[in-house]
Parts: sequence; C-alpha cells; structure tokens
Amino acid sequence: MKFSRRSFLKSLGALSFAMAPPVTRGPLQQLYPKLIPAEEIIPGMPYWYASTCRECPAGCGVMHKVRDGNVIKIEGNPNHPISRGGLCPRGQAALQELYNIDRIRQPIFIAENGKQTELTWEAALREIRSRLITGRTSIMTGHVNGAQKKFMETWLRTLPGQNSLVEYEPLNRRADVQVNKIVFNKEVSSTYHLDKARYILSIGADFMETWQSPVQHSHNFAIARQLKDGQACKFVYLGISGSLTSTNADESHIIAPRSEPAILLALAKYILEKRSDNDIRMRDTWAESLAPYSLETASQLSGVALDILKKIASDLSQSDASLVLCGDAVASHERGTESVVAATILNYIAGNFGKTIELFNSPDNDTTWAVSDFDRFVESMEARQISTLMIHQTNPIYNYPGTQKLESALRKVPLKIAFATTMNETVAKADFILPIHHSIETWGLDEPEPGVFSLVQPAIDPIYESRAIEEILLSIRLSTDLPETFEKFINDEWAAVFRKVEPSETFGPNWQTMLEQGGMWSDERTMDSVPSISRNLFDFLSSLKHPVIPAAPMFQVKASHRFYDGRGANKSWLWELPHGTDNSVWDTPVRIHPEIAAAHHLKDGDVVSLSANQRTIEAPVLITNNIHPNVIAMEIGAGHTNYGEMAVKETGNPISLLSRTNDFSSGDLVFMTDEISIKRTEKSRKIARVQGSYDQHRREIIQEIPLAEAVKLEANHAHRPIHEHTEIYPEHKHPIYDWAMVVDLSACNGCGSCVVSCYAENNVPIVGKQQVERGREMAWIRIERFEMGDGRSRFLPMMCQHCEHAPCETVCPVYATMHSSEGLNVQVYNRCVGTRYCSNNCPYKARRFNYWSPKWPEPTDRQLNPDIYHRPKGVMEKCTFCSHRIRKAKEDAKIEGRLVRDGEVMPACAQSCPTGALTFGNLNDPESKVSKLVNDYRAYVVFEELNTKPSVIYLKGIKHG
Amino acid sequence: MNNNRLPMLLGLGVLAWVGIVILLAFSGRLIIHRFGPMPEQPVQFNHSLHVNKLNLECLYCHQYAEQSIHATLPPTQVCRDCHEGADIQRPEAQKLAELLETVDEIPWQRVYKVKDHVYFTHRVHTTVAKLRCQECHGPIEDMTVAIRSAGGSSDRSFLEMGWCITCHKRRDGPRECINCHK
Repeated sequence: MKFSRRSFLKSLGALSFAMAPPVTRGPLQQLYPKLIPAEEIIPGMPYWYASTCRECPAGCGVMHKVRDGNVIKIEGNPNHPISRGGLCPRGQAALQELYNIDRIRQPIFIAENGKQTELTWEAALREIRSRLITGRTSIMTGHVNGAQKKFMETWLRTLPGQNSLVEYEPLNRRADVQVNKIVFNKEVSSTYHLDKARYILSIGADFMETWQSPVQHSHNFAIARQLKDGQACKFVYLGISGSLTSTNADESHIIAPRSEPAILLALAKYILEKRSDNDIRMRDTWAESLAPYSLETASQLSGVALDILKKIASDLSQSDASLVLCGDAVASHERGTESVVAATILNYIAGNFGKTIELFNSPDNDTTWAVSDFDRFVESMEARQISTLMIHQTNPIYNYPGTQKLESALRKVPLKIAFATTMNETVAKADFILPIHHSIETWGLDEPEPGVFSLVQPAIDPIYESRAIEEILLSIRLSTDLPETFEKFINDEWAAVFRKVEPSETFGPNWQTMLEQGGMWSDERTMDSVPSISRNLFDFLSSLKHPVIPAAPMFQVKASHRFYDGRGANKSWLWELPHGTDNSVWDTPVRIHPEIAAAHHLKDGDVVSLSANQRTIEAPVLITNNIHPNVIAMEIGAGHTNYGEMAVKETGNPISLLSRTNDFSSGDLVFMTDEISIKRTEKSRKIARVQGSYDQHRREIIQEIPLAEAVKLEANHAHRPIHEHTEIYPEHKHPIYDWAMVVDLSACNGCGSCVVSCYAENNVPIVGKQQVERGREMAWIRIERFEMGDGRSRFLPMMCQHCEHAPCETVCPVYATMHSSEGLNVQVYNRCVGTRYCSNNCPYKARRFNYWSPKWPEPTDRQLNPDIYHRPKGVMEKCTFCSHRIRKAKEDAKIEGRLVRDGEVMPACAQSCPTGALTFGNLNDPESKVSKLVNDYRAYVVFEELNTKPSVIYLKGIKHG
Repeated sequence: MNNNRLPMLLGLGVLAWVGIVILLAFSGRLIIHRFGPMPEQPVQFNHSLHVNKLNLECLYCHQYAEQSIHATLPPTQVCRDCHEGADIQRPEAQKLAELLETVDEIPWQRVYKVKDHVYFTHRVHTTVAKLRCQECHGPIEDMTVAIRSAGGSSDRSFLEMGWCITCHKRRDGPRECINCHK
C-alpha cells in the first residue's frame, strides 16, 4: 500500500509509451530513505528536489534540500515561472509544519464523549467502511488545483448521491474572475505585469504580503523600480489602514472606508477627458456613465486632499504604462466587487490591458466557494442532508465567521473524516482523523496558473504513518473512473500533461529533466485579445450609488503577512518574525488611531475588549497614525484554541467578530464589520517589539538619493569611492577571496524572507515573547524600518557587517572572534566564554548571546542543519555570511582545480530574497557582481564615520519625487 | 609537644591526605583516559585479513571517502556479496553470518570521532591533499579490529585539535579557525 518515490519511478518505467527512465535499480541498501537509487545517494552530501509550495494558493516553485534523509531547508526554485527563485517567510516555514511536534502520527477515532483512541490503519479503514451510508458525501477542502482537484472531483462523481467538492478558502482570487465577468462578460483571469509598469496605484492591494502571488509581484515590482532610461516606476498606495506594502509606497494616503469606487471612477473620468487621443470605443457612453463622479466628490468622501488626487490623476493620465491594483476580499467591504470593477474600468480607460495586464482564458479559474454558497452548505449540513463529510486542509471553525452555526451543523453529520497533518479546530470535530502526507512527502501535479504545470515530489519518506489523501480515498472506496492506485493516476496525469505540452517528445526519458526543473511550462501563453466591454457593465455602473461613509469606527480584519488566514499560527519562526511595520512579535495587536486611543484613554499594550455581532474578543492595542481614525484593524493569526503549542491564545480571533455578510455581487466574505464597540479592560500587557524607535536620530543609517540626481549620476557613470580614512594599523590581507555583500535598499521591501531563511539555515533558536521583551531575540539578520519623515518608510536588513576594523575583535579576551583571510569576521564558538564584550562594542548590534541552551524536541531536530553547530548557553553568535556554504563552494572549486565562480556562493538570505536585494560575492574578482556594485554611485556603508569598514555595502534607496 | 600545634598538625595531615587522594584519583583517571578501551564492536572485523590477504582496497568498503564528508561504513550488502553462501569457519565470520540474518544494519561503533563543533571532510583530504588513509588512521591494514592509533591522546573519545594542526602546519594546509570550526 505504501507509495514511495521508488515504486512510483518503477511503475513509470513500465509504462508502455515510455522508455525506462535511468532510475530503476536494484534493491536499496542504505539506511537513508528511498529517494535516489542507493548508488547515487552519497551520505553526508546535500540533494535538491524541485517541488511546489502549498502554503498558499500562489504555487511558488521550491527546492527542498535533503541531507541524510531529512529536509533541512526550503528555497525558491530559480527556474520557476511564478516565483523566480524567491520564497516568502510562510513558504520557508512549511518545514515547521512537516516537522511539527503536533503532527498527527496515526489514525485517531474521537468518540461522542470526546475520548480519543489511536487506531491502526486497517482498523480505521475497516471502521470507516462499515459506517459509510448512502447519501450525500462532501469533501470540504481548501483551494485545490491540478491533479488533486481532478482526483477529488472524479472520486466524488462516481459515488452514488449528489456529492460536492466544497472549496473554502477565505483569501482567494474569486473576485478577479467575477469582476472580469461583469466588465467583459467573459470568465477570464487577469495576470498583472508589475515589471512593465511605470506607475502603480494600489488601492488596498497588499501585493508584497498576501495579495494573490506576493513573491511574484515583489519580484516584478523590484524590476519595475530599477532605473531604466532615466525612469523608474512610481508607486502610490491608497488604503484605509497601513501595511507593509503601503509603507513601501512613494506616497501613501489613508482614505475613508467605502470611498474606493468613488476615487477610482473619478480618476477614470479624469483620464477619459484628458486623453482625447486614445482610442476608446463607446466614449460617449463612458462619459455618460462616469458623469456623476468627480475628483472633488472623491476628495470629500475619501478625506484625501484634492490636489493629491489631482496629482495622481495627472500622473496616471501621463504615464504610458500604468497599473491599478485593487485588493479583493481583504481591505474591502460589502461593495468590494464595485471597487475592483472600478479599478478594472480605470485600467481599461488608461489603456493598460495588453500592456501591464493580460487576460487569460483559463480552463480552471478559481473555483473556491463564495461564502454565501458556503453558508448554504452549512445549512444543508444542519438539515441533515450530508451523510459523510471529509475535511481536508481547511479550518472554517477558525476562519469562518459563524463558528457556532458550523459546529452545530457538523454535529448533524453522521460521519466526519478529517485528513490532516496537524490538529486544528475543525479537524478536532471529526469522528476519524487520518494522518496525511505533508506536501514534502507526496506526489502531485499543481496548476497554480494556467499553463504552469508544477511538480510536487516527495523529498523524504513519510516521517510518520501518514498516507496520501488520494490513496486513502481509494482505500475507502474504489472509483470506476479512477485507476486502482494513486500511483497510476498521477502517472497518467503527468503523461497527459506531457502529451499536451510536448506532443513530439516521448515522456519517459524527459521525466528526469522534469524532476530536476520542477515541472513544465511554456514561456509563451496565448493571450486573449482585449475583449470588448460588456453592455451590462453600464447598467452595473448606473446602479452604483455614492457610499455612505461610516461615522462610527469600523473593524477591519486583515490577512497576515506572517500567518495568512491563520494557518501559520502553529509555526514558531513566523511568530518570532517581527511584524513588517511595527516589529511586534508573538502577538497580533489591534491597531487604532490616536483619536480612538485618546477617547478611550488607551496606551500601547492596554488590553481592550472588542465586541461585534454578539461576540467579544480581547486584544492589546497598538496606536498608529497609519490608519483611518474610523478604522480599527487587526490581523488574523491569534486566537486559536486547538492548534498546537505555538499558537498564541491570549489574544482573540478577529474573524469571530465578523458578521456573515457578504459582498453583494461576488458573494465573498466581507472582512469588515460596522458595529464594533471597543472597551478598555483593566489588563495591560507589554507588546514585545524588536525595534525601539523608527527615527534615525540623524544618524543616516538609511540613506536616499533623489531620482533626478540618480539619473544624472547614472548618465555620468559616476562612482563613489568608499573607505577613505587613514589607517594606523596594517590592513588585513585577502590573498584569494574577499567576501562582501551588497544590499540594494531600493529593492528591499522588508518582507522578512531573509530572516526566516536564516532561522532555518543556521539553527537559530526561538526564544519566545518574554525573552524578546528583554532584548534577547536571536535573529542573525533583522529588518530595520525607519520613517523618512514624509510618511514613507524604508527597510534595511541588518546583519553582522563583517567589518575590516571590527570593534568586536579587539575586545575579545579569548580570541573567540577573529578576522579571516577572506574578510569574514568569524566566531569560534568553543572558544567563547561569554563575556559579551564584543556585543557591547558592536555599533551595529548584530551579535546575539545564548542565554539558554535551545531545545529541539523530536521531530523538530530533524530540520537542523548538520553543517552548523548547535550553540549552547553562554555562547555569542552572529551572522557568518553562511560560511558553511562558502566552505562547500571552495571545496568543490578546489577539487575541480579552480576558484569559486561568481554566484556560486549564495547565503541563505540572498537566495530567498524575492526582490534580489542582496548580492554576495568576491571583491577580489573584478568581474563579480559585487565588485561592480560596491563602486556604484549609490554605495555607502552604515556608520562610515566609525571607520569600521564593513563588508556589507548598502546602495542608497532611490527617492521618487 | 605544644598542645596548640596539635590541631594545626592534624589539619595539615588531613589536607595532605585529601591531596594524596585527589592526586591518585586524577592520575588514575588520566591513565584510564589515555589507554582506555576502544568501543566494543559487534563483530571483530579483521582489517588485516581483508586488506593483506584478500587484497581489498579501502574504498571497496568505505566507498565514499573520496566523495563525501564521511568515508561511510559499508552497507550489509557489501558483506553479503562475499559472505553469503561462503562457508567460513572463523568464529567472527560465523557471528557476522548470524547478524546478517537478524539485523538490517550492523551496529558498528565509531572509532574516530570529532567534536560537534568541528567540520571534517574526507573528500578534500583524500582528493585535494591526496592523503593516504594510513596517515590519519595508522597502519590499519595490519590491525584486526580497528583501534585508534592517532589523533592525540588527552581525550580518548575525540580527535585533538593539536594533532590536526601539526599536520596542517607540516603540509601547509589551511589553518584558519573557520576552515574546521563550524
């Protein structure tokens, strides 16, 4: 029954149309899991397996690094068309789901009285089969696509009864398709090309964090921001509350809730009038429909000054390639669809379709259920119409606003089977819990975007007695339309994809290539020509009314950069990753405007009770100016009741406060509620933040250069020499290598990928909230955010600067920290006696001290990187520039009798950066990328006046006028 | 005798006694340390027989010494290739035959160990420095069961840094902290 990688490859070899792939060998002889034939596995050496990230629906390509049978790191797949090598913090943290102490290890039966019994697989399946009754069966799942979706649909179809595949995904891309249906009367999805835009306006779309495909958008945005032909993309953000994305904007303005459509349509009208040259069909109809809108009204409604809106309007109309992004479900209200329709109209009138937006006819558009449909599904359960419910990768008890109703409905379902990797609130309501493979342990074929066939391949043998969900479904009941094994099914699916994409080639011999590159995709996709506007759109437009701007505070629930829809809350790396804008850890405070704080006499950390829709939660407050005075915002993440040890329970679950109203035209969940009451409680708790001040106190840690000046210097090929100070001591000699890193502050958006990547790569321990409060966090790289004075912020990744004149080296009494001949500042752990003088003398505060010996309970210890020592208590540690990766590259080079090539060494942080802000290399090689960048006119070092001569060189951020 | 000096003398006597006991205990410890027994192997594998008589190369069993950080111990299949079906009357060969029937992997005990914070790779030592195995592992071809015959002696379980450095100096190998300390 066990479906290993090996048996899959074997059966593949047996397929009639294929030649045997070169991987079927004799029986395995090693203790190592059955990954590559024994002859090809070398113990102690790392292997990489391409796969697809399943942490959110974006579907980024990943590489799993396997060492001695354990996956120790996840990195982005540089060849993948979606992610292009980057990976977000949530993707990195997928490892903490695989190696979670709360992994379900064997089938569990939960009796009526709540008593849990562990079962064997045979017993569990026998019991389930005996309880199967005829009637409707439903699989309630998160978003599934590709082969898995096809499998579930086929399996359900061949069962007797009216069965349904219920996809519940609170953060989805439904709006996109819905809106295109209204505007173009076509079921097409939009693809946004941020890289081609010269002017981006985002209305509540947090595309660097959670919106659609953050890694892809961040990557493309960084390309757009590069200086090209004396230009660089300008970015303006309008939203009801601030976010990581909004702080990255050149201009960000807080607008009143519900004013989005009015602003967008007024802008559309302005452009329509200004651009008499462009060829817009039905100009008169447009003019008529947009007549009620004006920038003046928009300014009154939104509270944004008229001249700001006028400037945006004129910039938009003058830009040859603009792009308007509008956040869907999140950051929207019961008229969210209207906003997205308005944004689409604006894009259409600005002529962006075919330039920065393309429409694709995709066969498999987002099929997640509207919450209104899900409501009906819950009602049908309540009415005892569902006899068997299968729960898979979704947690509506946590993230559906109607928990009690759902709980009661679930009690009416006679048989509930949960397929899960870890326990969560919904899984706990099932009768049977069956452990399924994590995506790192199973096979699959994902299709995250039309035409991108992304491979899911196991990197290790299952660590517990889990099975693939498809296997379990088949052992519960065989289906006439499906092969007898999952193995055969997935074989057939891949073969079919191959026949479709490469009809002339045979599949077998190419399978190996595909395993290496991570799937199949063609770079050219057939784009639909810009469709004509639907007549119904004008009816839709004429039905719109100017909104009523609420006078009382509204409650906004935001998708979390760290926990997404709450699913990341069982991962300690994500809790310890500081929040993008306020640097808080281990909590999700509720953000309020100083006006509300003053009205309720609140200060940071005071716990308030928030009530809405007859439910109440408690949360500490955090006061910020970056929010509309009538908005109270809170991110999803805390308030889990049954989601493992790491989940934060003191703070409540904001989703529980939402009413089940939905967007009137799309049926999507509305992440806002009107009737919020905020009350002060007697409690107060400190919010643990890793940065004390966002003011640079004139120390010029982050430096900027105005765009005009940058253009001039670029044209003159200007250089800026650094390190001009006189020397007293002889300089360090770097005969072969001189390692350095260049950080482009124009590209860094503060997403924190590097931070989590470093945690994973270097066995950096998690310390918890209390220790962070005492300033004892262990992150080797941190993101510093500083406010630039005009509402903007910039981010600076700060790690050990590997100074040539390192202040830490001179004060260590035991020579535990030394300078290497390659320009690295090295820390010799077993020499360190813990005086902490070095940390005291480090102007960059890049050194971390182990106050406790970290613990890695089984199975989390399997994630540890064997190339890195587990530092005990009493030892100082810090960024090493991933010296173990340098060492590995040097060994490879030595064996081949050459020097390390440029780009061969990639520290973990640089590898995972979605925007490519970090570049690492050898300064002794004049052709290396870093050598060219260090002499850039934008180059500077932090605290140059201290003459520490860091090896980390920053490039000034370009300030757009 | 002056009664005043008696307690002092007694005290000195006790101190001397304690000193002697401590000294004895430490010297004993050092002796055990230095000449302490090697780990007990499940089978007394005869290196000399396999190398000198049967002319097997080291890499025949320790097959990844040139490719990996570990030289690696052979999977049981390597033993089986010759031993299965062969009727060898030696007691240790009999023991091996029994083991091969009962266990998947033979629980060989490690003889040469480095501390956790040390990075050591066979790959570079064998291919770049082109060291023969014997330079670190001693005349292993003449041993029966492997015993550690090099690597410094103040600590019986782990190889000593001084021993590494001596050789790195002699051969002008890299001698920076970061090369070996991880």
